[in-house]
Amino acid sequence: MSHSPKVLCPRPGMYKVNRREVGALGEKVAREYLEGLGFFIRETNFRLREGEIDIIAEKDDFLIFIEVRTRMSTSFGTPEESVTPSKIEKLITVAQNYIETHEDLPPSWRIDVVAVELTPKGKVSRVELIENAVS
Amino acid sequence: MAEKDCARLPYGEYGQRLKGEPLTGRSKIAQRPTFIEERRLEEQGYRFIAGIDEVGRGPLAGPIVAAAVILPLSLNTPWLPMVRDSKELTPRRREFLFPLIGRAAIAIGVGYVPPDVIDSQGIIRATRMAMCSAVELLPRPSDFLLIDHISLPELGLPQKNIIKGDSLSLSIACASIIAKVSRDRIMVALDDVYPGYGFARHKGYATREHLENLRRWGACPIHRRCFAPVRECIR
Repeated sequence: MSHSPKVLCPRPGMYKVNRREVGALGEKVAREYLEGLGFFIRETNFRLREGEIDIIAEKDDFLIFIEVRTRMSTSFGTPEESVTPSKIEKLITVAQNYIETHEDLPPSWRIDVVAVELTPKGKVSRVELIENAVS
Repeated sequence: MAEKDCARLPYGEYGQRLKGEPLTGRSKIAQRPTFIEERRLEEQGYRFIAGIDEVGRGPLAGPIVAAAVILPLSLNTPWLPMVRDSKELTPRRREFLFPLIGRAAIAIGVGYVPPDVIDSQGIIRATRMAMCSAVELLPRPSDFLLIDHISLPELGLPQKNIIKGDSLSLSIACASIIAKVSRDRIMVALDDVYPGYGFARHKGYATREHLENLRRWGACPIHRRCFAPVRECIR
């Protein structure tokens, strides 16, 4: 895959990165990855006042709410470690809201995390799906 | 578990430490409440198993609140593992779980006993009254009661009391959260009616702030006059 954010500075240690663009790149990588795994994507960037869910998908009779975490360096921990308890609360609140306002949904639901790690140059170095990341 | 095995271990049937048994090292078992007991009862044919817990036995003011919660045992949502005994959760986490339990439950009943009844009946009978009315207020009747610590023979329903039930049974833990949040909200509302005591902060419990204000202003109508610190302030 050859997506690359245009905003990277060349000198090491002085990378100036547009966080929004890194996030968008990560979500695109995650979406393609999930489609490759056979997920049916229902919605992306589902937004409410309480928060946002990056991807809402369906697979094997599960409704899956996916949080994408993109990191350019693991010096502050891995992407999946950056999901805080308060973020989890927000995800559950929005997911519950989605379930109550939509019909024809699969019987069970869960929350997954897709971890995307990028090299400083913007290449994808790791993509991983963590099922049932919340519990 | 056979009785023999129980005798050897310092823990009860569900892993709780029994009264008087020594703590062996770091033996506080990190245990989450489960549906184990509920599943066992379901096998015996019970359908609507209610968990019951009470909140507010200790405070000097305000009502005692009990909740009864019937959960679908098929419930499997990402928030369920967050459920603990209400005392182990932060206020924020309790507020978060409160509406989720409310929507997921088959039925919920909340019973209150006001402070003047606590004074006339005593705290133990008031606790039972609150629990009984929580069960009676369930919109769908329960066929088995799982109660934290207390038994309620007057209801004439099959039941079991579990010591430390609020940290062992998910139904009782959910009831403890419903009761705790309900009571806290009542106390915040009563703080507007009887300002000056700080009910919104301490919820009627005997904190230093509460005792100081009690000494300064005397007892208000929602104070439990039968409790010693309040009685001393009236004299």
